[in-house]
Amino acid sequence: MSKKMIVLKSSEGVSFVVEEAVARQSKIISFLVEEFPDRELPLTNMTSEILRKTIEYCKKHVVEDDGGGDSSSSSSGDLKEWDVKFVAEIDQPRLMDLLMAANYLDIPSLLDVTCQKVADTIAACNDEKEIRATFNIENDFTEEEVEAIRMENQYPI
Amino acid sequence: MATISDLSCDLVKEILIRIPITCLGAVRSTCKRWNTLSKYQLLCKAESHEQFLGFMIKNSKLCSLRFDDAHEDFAVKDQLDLFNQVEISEVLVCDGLLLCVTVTRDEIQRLMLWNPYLGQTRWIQPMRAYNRSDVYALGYDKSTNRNHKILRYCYGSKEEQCEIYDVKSDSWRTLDDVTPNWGRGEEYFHLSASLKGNTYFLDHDGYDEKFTGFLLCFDFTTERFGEQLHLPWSQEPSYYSRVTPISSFREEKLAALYICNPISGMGIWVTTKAEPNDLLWSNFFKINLESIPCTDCFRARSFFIDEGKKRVVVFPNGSVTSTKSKKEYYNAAYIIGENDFFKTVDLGGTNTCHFFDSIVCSNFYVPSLVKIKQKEREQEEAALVLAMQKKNKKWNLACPFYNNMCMSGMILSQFKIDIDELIGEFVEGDLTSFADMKRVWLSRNFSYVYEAFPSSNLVFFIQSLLAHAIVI
Repeated sequence: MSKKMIVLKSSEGVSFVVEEAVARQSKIISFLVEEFPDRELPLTNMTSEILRKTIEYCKKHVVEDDGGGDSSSSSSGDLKEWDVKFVAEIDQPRLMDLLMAANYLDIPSLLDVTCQKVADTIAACNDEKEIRATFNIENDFTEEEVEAIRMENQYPI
Repeated sequence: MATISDLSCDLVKEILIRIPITCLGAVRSTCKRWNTLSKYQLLCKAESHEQFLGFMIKNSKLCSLRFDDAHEDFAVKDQLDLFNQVEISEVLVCDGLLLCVTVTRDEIQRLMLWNPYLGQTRWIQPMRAYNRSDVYALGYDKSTNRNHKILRYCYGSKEEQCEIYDVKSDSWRTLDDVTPNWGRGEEYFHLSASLKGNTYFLDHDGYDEKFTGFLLCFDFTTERFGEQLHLPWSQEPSYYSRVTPISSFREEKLAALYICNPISGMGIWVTTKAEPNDLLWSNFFKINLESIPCTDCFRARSFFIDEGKKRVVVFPNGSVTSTKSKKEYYNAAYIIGENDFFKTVDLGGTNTCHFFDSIVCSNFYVPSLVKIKQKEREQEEAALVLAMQKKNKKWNLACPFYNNMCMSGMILSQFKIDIDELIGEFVEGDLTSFADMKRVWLSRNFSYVYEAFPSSNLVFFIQSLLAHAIVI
């Protein structure tokens, strides 16, 4: 039996043909597929690169979910490992794009791994200066304000 | 290419809740947006749910205690500068708040209420002079706005009396006709655990030959003591080890530690139901004390349980003699588990005298957003936040709404212009309420809403909803 395919279009107008089961991991696409069964779905705020990455993630996860029917603990462990590697290979700006795409398309598991990756990067920083430098965040505090926050957060934990 | 600054408040929050609480200070000092977010929502929740976070008094100073579940080890962090001036005699934890009973060198007692997550403190002057045997408890009533209170039971003075401090009104009052039915087991009064806003005290019947132990609950809603509640065992512990430590497990369950002697062993019980006048217990696990190579466990003063791993971590009453020098004492904890698991953990630091016991508060600390600052300070802060939001043109209230709009924005993209204009005017006009927002909205001709071309039922629904909202 041939699998049903759907077409997703990136902001550059590039079309991606994806198995419906793969794409349905996005709740938004799932909804749209039901509303417009035979239409190309334009994802105007996603670049081809990010869309390709998102599809790669969905493909991996749909295969594992179907695989053999019973998902043993080792396969879910492998999947976790794969997720870690998947986000580790992405540079920071693209990771942000992917995170937003996961949110936009409503793919909770992808949102979780991308958020966790950013959180781990923040936690690995030694102080706020390193966080700002790593994420290119502007310091909008005055010296006094930083000192006040420091006083308040002598959090002994 | 996006940066972290392009993410919506909700997404930043999704990231920040996954950061361990140890990073909270760094997160807050990074930028104003993160700082503000952390004051209105609990961020950095990671780990705090899996790990034991607690507080300990060591050499009259407050320390925090973090139990690393994976390595079965402790990280002890020393006290704040804030407390350097004073001796802390007791620490109580409830609902993310800490109550520190402090004593100055002149024996003047003051109470400090502290929310470590929010970094808010409040010093409280007791109504009457200090007495070493005063008993304190921290709790809240179950009214809709959780009113936090402190109970002070003056016991050592000529007449027994209960006083209540109300955090909201910042005032003390005497409770008439309220005296606990203490069994005169004086030395146990400081053994208490806080659960669901109420405090359970351990007491013993001093007039009974068997020295029967029981629990007594102070209900912070009714402001009354409950009936004597039986402990789960039928045979009383031996006289030597009759102190029964109790602890509260994530403010959901009570746990009681039963220690008898090496033959009867040691038992841990947890509640399956806990109401002020009703406790139901089930056995957590039993330990054969013969397998444990130390006798200090008999003198357990406080403990906590790790439910998942079936471990109990016991803090002995008094310090342990160091093997190096008999004149030094150090603080230790014992981790005991099923199948004869036993581990000693050095909590660091030595005491010059074993009379200065380290006292571990047996309640889990779970961060909360309970505000304890005086009202004026809160208003000041709220004004600051508002000013900051204006400056940054960030309108937190609009965030979830705005995101939804952007989501359907692949078809309704024009609508963003309307919202941007709306927020712009809202910010410039110094407006704060939704009524104002509606007025601004009505004064504008929101053509885009009507002109947008809905291509799905969902978008059509949103469009109709917006149109409807504009008309009414």
